[in-house]
Amino acid sequence: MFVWFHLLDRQVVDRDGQLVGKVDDVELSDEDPPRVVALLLGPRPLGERMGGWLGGLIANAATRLHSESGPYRARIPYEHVASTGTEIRLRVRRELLPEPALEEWLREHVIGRIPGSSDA
Amino acid sequence: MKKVFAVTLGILTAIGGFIDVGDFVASSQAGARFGMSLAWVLVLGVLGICVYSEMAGRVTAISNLAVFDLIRERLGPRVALVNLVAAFLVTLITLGAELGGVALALELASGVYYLLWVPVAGFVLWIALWRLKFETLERVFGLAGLTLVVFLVALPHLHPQWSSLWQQASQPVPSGSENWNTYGYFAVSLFASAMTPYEVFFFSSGGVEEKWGPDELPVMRANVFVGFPLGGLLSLGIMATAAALFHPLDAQVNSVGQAALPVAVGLGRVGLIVVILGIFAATFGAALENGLSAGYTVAQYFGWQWGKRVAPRAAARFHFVVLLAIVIGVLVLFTTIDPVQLTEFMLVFNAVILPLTYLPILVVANDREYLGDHVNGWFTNLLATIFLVILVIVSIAAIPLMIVTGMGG
Repeated sequence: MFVWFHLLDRQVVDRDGQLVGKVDDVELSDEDPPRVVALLLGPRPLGERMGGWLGGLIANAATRLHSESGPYRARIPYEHVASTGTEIRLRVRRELLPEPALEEWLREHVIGRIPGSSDA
Repeated sequence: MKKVFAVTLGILTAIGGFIDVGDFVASSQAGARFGMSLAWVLVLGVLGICVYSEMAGRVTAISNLAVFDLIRERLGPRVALVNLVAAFLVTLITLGAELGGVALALELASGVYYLLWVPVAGFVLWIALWRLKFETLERVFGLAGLTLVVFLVALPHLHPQWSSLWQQASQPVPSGSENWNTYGYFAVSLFASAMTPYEVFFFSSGGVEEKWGPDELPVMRANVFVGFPLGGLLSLGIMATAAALFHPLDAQVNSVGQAALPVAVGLGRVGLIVVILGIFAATFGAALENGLSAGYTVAQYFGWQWGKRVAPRAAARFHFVVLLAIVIGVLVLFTTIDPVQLTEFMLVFNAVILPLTYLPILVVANDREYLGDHVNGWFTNLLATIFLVILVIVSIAAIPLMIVTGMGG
């Protein structure tokens, strides 16, 4: 069946319940029937999946916002998925995944510089 | 005993937090122009927000997801993005209108021109969102908003003709020089003021912030089914005082000061002080909710870390969107647009996006994968479906009515 139908656009959380992102796209194997190999997170896979001018706009903006390491596109191998349901829980901690460039930039240059940014 | 206290506190917060600048403007304008003949719309709107808030709260308590998570998941990324852009812009306009209400309340209290208060209010708003805990934000302004009960206290002191108020309420037709178009326009505004979408964005996201689970369902329902209707009663009180004081004179309400006047007339100086405090608390509280909702909607669409539970540096994108929303809200007011007119605009655009917000809630509330045995019963579905039809009609009618009547004329 269309397994990815129950994956796409759902919230991904890490081992401790921290929010990681949405399942913006999935990578499928070449087998027949295909199976989900990895979850793809980030505005670029999102834009590419949406297609059209709107999707192109998002993918483009994401590419422009990229850090030195290239545009953010977290590829999470399906082995890391602990459980699927209304949210997708991973076996790993968020810190082990590549950090979104926008989050990093805003933390280092804006939010992290304001007094009190470390207090919950 | 502790439980009783928690439930009571929750209900009181829900009552005081119900009113915002939209309720305030729509209710007093409608009362002045139509007496109580639009009261039924408020009753209908309050019932609608109860039905849909309970569903949204239930989905949140069971699945730990907030409204914009559902919108993205059910409508897909493309339609949800259109929805996000619309909801975000409307939230910004609403934030601007609430900040305008804060500034006007400060002008009434100090005599200092409201535009000078706008940046101060914006800055204090941001500090509050940056530093205060979620529960503190919600409680303080919710409870302070309870002071708007002065409208109900002032009503008998205005010596209204109760029989004519009742007669207006029981004859839902335009009176005097008014026609069906203006009647429809104010009906749309009133309905939107009761069902403003940010209320469910905030309500459901607040449920996630406060870590609701199935055990919190009874408390959540008490807040919704007791707190919201009593909050709606405050709206009716605002409408009734305007109907008692302005309607017989054929006078219109065009400023926040005029909307507060019935209380001053009925209760004198003390009443005026209390009503200014109430307007300040209600609009500031709503500005907080809109600032957070701006961040909630965007973060939930993209799946970013959000909320007040984590340190701001762990949710940098969320806090940046909140900051940006406040700056834009301040800039909107700096265009020198009249805050009351901004509020009228805000209500019309809120009306337009109503179905986009509420349809996904209804769909998910029927999904066993999310709710298990807590899915809607037939009665809730019947009510919710009737309301969905009303929401669509209101949404379609809003802009044409605004144009035809020149924003109520």
